[in-house]
Amino acid sequence: MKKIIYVFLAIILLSGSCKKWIDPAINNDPNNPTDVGLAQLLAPVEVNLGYVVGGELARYNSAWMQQLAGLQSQAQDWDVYNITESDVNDDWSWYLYAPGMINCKIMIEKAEFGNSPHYAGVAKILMAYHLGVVTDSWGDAPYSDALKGNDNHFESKYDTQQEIYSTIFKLLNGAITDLQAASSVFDPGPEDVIYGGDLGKWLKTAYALKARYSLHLAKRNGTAAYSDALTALTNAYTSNDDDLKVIYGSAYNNSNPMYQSEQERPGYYSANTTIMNMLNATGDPRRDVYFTGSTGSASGLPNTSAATLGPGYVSSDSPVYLMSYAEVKFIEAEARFKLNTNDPLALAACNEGLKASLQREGVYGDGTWFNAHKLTAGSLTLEKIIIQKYLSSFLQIEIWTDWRRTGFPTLTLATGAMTTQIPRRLPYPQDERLYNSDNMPSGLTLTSRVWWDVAK
Amino acid sequence: MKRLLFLLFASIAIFDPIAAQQKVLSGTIKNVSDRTPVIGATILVKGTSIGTASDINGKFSITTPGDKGTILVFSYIGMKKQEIQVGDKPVVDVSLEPDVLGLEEVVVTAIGISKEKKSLGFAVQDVSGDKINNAKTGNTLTAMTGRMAGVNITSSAGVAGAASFITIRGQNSITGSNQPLFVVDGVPIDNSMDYTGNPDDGRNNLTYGVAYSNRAIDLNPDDIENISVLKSGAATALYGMRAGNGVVIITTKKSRDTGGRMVISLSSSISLDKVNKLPEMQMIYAQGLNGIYNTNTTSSFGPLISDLRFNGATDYPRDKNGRLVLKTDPTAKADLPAIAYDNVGNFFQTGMTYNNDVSISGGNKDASFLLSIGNNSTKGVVPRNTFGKTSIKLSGETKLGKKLKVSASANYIHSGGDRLQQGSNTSGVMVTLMRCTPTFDNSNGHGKYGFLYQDAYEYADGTPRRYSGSYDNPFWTVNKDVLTDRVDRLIGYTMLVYNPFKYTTVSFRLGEDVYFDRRKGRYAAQSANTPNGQIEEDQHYSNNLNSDLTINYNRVLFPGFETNITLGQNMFQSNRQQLYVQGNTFDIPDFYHMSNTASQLVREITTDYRTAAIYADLQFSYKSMVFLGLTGRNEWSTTLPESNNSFFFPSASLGFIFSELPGLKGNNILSYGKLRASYAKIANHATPYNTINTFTSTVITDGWGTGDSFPFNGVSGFSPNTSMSDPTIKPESLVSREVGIELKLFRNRINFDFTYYNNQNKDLLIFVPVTGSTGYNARYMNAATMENKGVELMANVTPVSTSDINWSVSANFTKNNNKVLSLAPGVDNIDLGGFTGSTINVVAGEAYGSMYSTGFYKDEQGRLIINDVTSSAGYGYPIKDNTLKSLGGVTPKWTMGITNDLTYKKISLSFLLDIKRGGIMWNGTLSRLVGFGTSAETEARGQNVVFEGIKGHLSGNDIITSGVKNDISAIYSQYYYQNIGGGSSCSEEQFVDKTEWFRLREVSLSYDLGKLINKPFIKNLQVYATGRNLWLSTPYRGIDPETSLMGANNAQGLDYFNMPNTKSYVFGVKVDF
Repeated sequence: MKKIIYVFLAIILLSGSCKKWIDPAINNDPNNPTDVGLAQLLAPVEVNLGYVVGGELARYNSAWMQQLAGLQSQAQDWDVYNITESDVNDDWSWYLYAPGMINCKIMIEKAEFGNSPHYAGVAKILMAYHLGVVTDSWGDAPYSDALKGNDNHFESKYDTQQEIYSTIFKLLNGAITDLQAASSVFDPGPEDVIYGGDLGKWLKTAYALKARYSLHLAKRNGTAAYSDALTALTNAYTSNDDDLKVIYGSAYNNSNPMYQSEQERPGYYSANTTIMNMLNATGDPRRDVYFTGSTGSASGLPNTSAATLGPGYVSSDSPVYLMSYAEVKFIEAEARFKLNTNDPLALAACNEGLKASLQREGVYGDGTWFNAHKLTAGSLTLEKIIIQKYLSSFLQIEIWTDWRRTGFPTLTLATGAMTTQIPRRLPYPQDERLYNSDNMPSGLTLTSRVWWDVAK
Repeated sequence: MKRLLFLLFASIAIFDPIAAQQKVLSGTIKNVSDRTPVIGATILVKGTSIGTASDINGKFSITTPGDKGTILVFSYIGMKKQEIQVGDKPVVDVSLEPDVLGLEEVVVTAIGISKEKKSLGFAVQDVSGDKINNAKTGNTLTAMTGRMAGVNITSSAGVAGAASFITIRGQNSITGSNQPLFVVDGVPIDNSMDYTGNPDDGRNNLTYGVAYSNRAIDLNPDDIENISVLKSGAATALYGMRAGNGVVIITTKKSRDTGGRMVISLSSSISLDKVNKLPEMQMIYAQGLNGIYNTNTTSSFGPLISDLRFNGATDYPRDKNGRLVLKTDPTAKADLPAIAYDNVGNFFQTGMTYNNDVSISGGNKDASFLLSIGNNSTKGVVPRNTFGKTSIKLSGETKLGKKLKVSASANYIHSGGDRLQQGSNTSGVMVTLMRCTPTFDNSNGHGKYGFLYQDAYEYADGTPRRYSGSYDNPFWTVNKDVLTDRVDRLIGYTMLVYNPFKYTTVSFRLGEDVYFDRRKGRYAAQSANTPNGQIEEDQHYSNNLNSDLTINYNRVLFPGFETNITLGQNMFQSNRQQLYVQGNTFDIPDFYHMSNTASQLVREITTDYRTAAIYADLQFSYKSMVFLGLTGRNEWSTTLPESNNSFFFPSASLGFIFSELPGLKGNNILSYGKLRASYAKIANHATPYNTINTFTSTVITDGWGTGDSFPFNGVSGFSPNTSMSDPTIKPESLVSREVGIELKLFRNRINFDFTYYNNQNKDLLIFVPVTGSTGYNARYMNAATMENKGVELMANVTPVSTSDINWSVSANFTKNNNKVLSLAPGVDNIDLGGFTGSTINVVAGEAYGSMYSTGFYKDEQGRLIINDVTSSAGYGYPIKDNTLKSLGGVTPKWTMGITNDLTYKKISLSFLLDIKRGGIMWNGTLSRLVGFGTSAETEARGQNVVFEGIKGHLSGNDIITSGVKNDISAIYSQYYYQNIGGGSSCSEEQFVDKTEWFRLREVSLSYDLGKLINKPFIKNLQVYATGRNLWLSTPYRGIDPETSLMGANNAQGLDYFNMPNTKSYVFGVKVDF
């Protein structure tokens, strides 16, 4: 029996070595850091924003706004407004809020704490942009109570769209101040894949976005919306060089979202007859940039021999435009026209927008087509301005907002439509219904209007 | 580790006892019934590890401590154990009696401790190696299917090298692994299913790609002596935190004393495999839309094939007979009617599997060895799909002095094969094959040999020859989009057994399982899925190191009261590393090398953890009637927070053989009866790296495109890990209770074993989903509770038993009721994986694995609402409801296996019926094939139909109905098949099929020729023929429903262009020299 005790002691000795064996450091994640700096947080926001705005959201929007037609599978469903809460779940949960807005939030906090107002300014502009996309697509949305998972707060209250719009302006105004600060510990550099740290261009962007979001409120604010937009525009973009765009790379995992879509789901999308008819009617040279042919497919009636997307938009390194000089000019044209239908500067701005678009797409040439087709004095209408904007904003989600605001271009319901009207909002995502149902607004359909979309 | 070894040897040095007077004993062992020598019987000096085995003449010789009280224990499988007190006798001759009741049967339990079955207070079931060998499935797991109660095994596909998924008594973990721990000869081995694909894409990788192997496939079935499955907590408690899902203990064949002779065994078999079930295809309608022939579409809603003729054009590479035109077309050749090509029939081949195994063993009473070399080579039913493995195993043992025995084993395995794309993948074999229209000949006139001819899948200019630009020709896929894996693996151990003094055995085992799995995926440029070409270099390294030091003390304390105590210490370490490199965009078309790619993506993942434990196993028995077992284990794991990483797990079990009671003993009807009960508290530990929040390199992906990731044009990017960690986690707690009764009647003619268990699992660790507006997508925490209650019934009846004829029937029945009691506050539903319209979820209040699908709108009485809006495209059809609703559990309600064994002299016939009731699966294959117009279900096109239901429509989200019975005559149109009755956005509810089955799992006929040949050098010669899966009856409208898209993963119940299953005909021979 005594010997057994010896044996037992040996075991106890061995278990002493357990302490060393169970070294807590083994559980330090070797694959992921516990903290990162401002420079590591910025690029993901920009790339991600371009990917969702120029990818999935562009696919829904362009189908509904009849720039694209879906030929098969899900693309065909979206054509007829058959979109579900699970379709949009990733857009909300895996792009816009995380990593998009959570990174912006951390950047703003880190930059303000670390006396880096220039970085804070850029982060605020990007945060405002995300909020704009969220609220224009879904209406009310969590913000002031959101992004608090780290504080163990998992069910965020919703802000009204009106509150979100004031947040957007607050963020943009804050950015304007921050960007002009005399000193900043950290400044964005090459990690800013949009502007490479050019603060002047960010400042112009803050003003351009102020103009865009002021204009969105036209149905609510009337003429004030237009004059707010015009005021902001005086400090906004002055050429195509200023455009806010994400330029994708040649590596496959750095490539343009529509390029990836075309690569992996070839045959899903073609030109829509609506935009194709407009382009064909004037022999618009942009047709051959946007598409590979001259035939379209009508929404809900797939025509498999319709033209596919053109290389200008579905190459690996095609840019995704988030805000452009052309759009700035069309905002100016609309605002001026709405304030004074005879304002000659409205016409000039509209034509400058068209010219900027043609130049951006590399089809301006010697200006022959432009001069033959630019708008002329006395013929300007809101519809013409919006149609020029529509033709200059290929695959940009702003066209859906314009259509909801102005009703232009005039669109007919897709054949076999699942709704009685073209949708005016996205369904709230599945995650919100499942994990934040107490706060998520209910009783809405695809055709319910958001706050600024006042029925006339 | 060095310190451990030092201590071990130190302990041996300390305890070296004074040598006692020794004595050599010899004798012969014979079978009492026919007086033939018993070869290979075990002779042990009781209370020591001193032992030997009888030679081919039944003779043995053994050196004993010389003590007069020495007891020798004689045992042999199927014989009653005998204990003989030696006294002064120099020669001991023994006659062993057959063990009719099987009471002496010994099973391997936790930590390799062998125990007599009768002494256990919990259910253990084992399968002998023979049963596994004769099935010749290549995958050991598959061969166990249907043979055990409480054990559910699903093979993921019938392709060569595909994984099998095993669960024991239902699921225990929500999102963690539900696979049991595999232990081979005391060494825990890795049974991972590693997938290839960009790790950023997570589990999405499992819905496409290839069918991977689970690593238990590396084991050579010919090496296996026995597999024993530990199901209850009391049985597995000694294994600690990694054994919460049960343990599969595999014991391999050991070397033994052959009297210095060399024993050679050969076994060889060939298996012919054929696809056993496929979806039915239509062969009537041509490619096209709305009845018009069109080669630009992916659909087959064209005209009747019988209305088409070839025009005989010779400049048309798409078809050698020319273009298809209507028979009324002036260019139509009347003598060239259009052909409905049998693409499916032309595609699948007869698979071949060769198994060859040779083993050489030899030894004397001091040392022995066993060398076994096995080779398996499989050519799959899908052309170009292969899998093979070669296993070399050398094991041996030797006695060093009187008290020390050293044994070691090393098993080197080389395995791997060529795997082909499956699932949701435009280059997938089944997607490309089944979506293809009948008016396109994939083989280009080569029929069955299409895969051998480049002109079948490639035009002269190098562009792909395929029915549609969206999908590859399957012959292109099998030739050009191949993943090759090569595994090199070493499983080995060294073991020292030392008897410092009487009744006490110290053993130490150090085992290691290390493998390197190198894979290369090649995806040719112009493939539908990878138009620019892609290669993957994927390397997985895994190293499991395990040490167990045990001290066993076994003694009869006073007459009738025996005690057996084991104390132990365990250390375990797992290192895993994956290096994944993806190269994209080729410059030279068919040059598959990283230097030929325009961009590369590199990922590195390391996962390490360690555990340590001390444990005790106390067994007491009273008069071979009452058996009490107590175990305790304290364990530490690095995956838990430091302040919270030590946990104690106790268990208790009681066996009561009531037939030993006075009055019942010797009863002629009730030969044996036992009651047993057990209780245990066990645990699963956490997955590593979930105690501290981190940032991860940002990944942007939506399941539509591959997505973007960092570095982006040379710039790095990080964002908060979307899954939040929890610094306060503790292990998952599993409380297991079991009661059972065993009865043997009429001298074992009727056996009966019933078990009821109740497992309550709480604090289950889950990634609780949170909505993105929190800034995160999930948080890891102890949250869920779940229970498994069930019954297992095993029965064995021997209606006929004479010296020539024996017929026995055994059945096992399993019914497990799993219920997820709660998930997390505010969360009652977690998605395990799936597709937009059909996902597999874990839902509070339902069984684990619920099918969630889109459906049709119905009224309160469950009647379909039929669209009554005349202007609507859906007029007259049911209305799709996009909300995902539960359709029930994917797991079976009960399963039953019935084995019949018939022997007549030297002929044995055995067949295994496998019955499964309940369980559903999403038949995504059929859903899409209807949408593509290739399914036979679309042959009803053009016919009128009045859907049963009531007329109504939607207004906003509300159903408006007058309650009037539907009388609208609708038509089975292309619109219907693509939007309502099929296609990618239909209501998937209609494609959720029952997976129940009744199948002839196995038939085996063997003939023992040994005596017939009567050559002295041939000890045994057996020939056999086995058929697997020869007959299947199931309501499932597709392939064999024993399938799993995601392989050995929790999300079972999805069929989306899964590879079909097979039936096999095996012919084999076994010879022993």
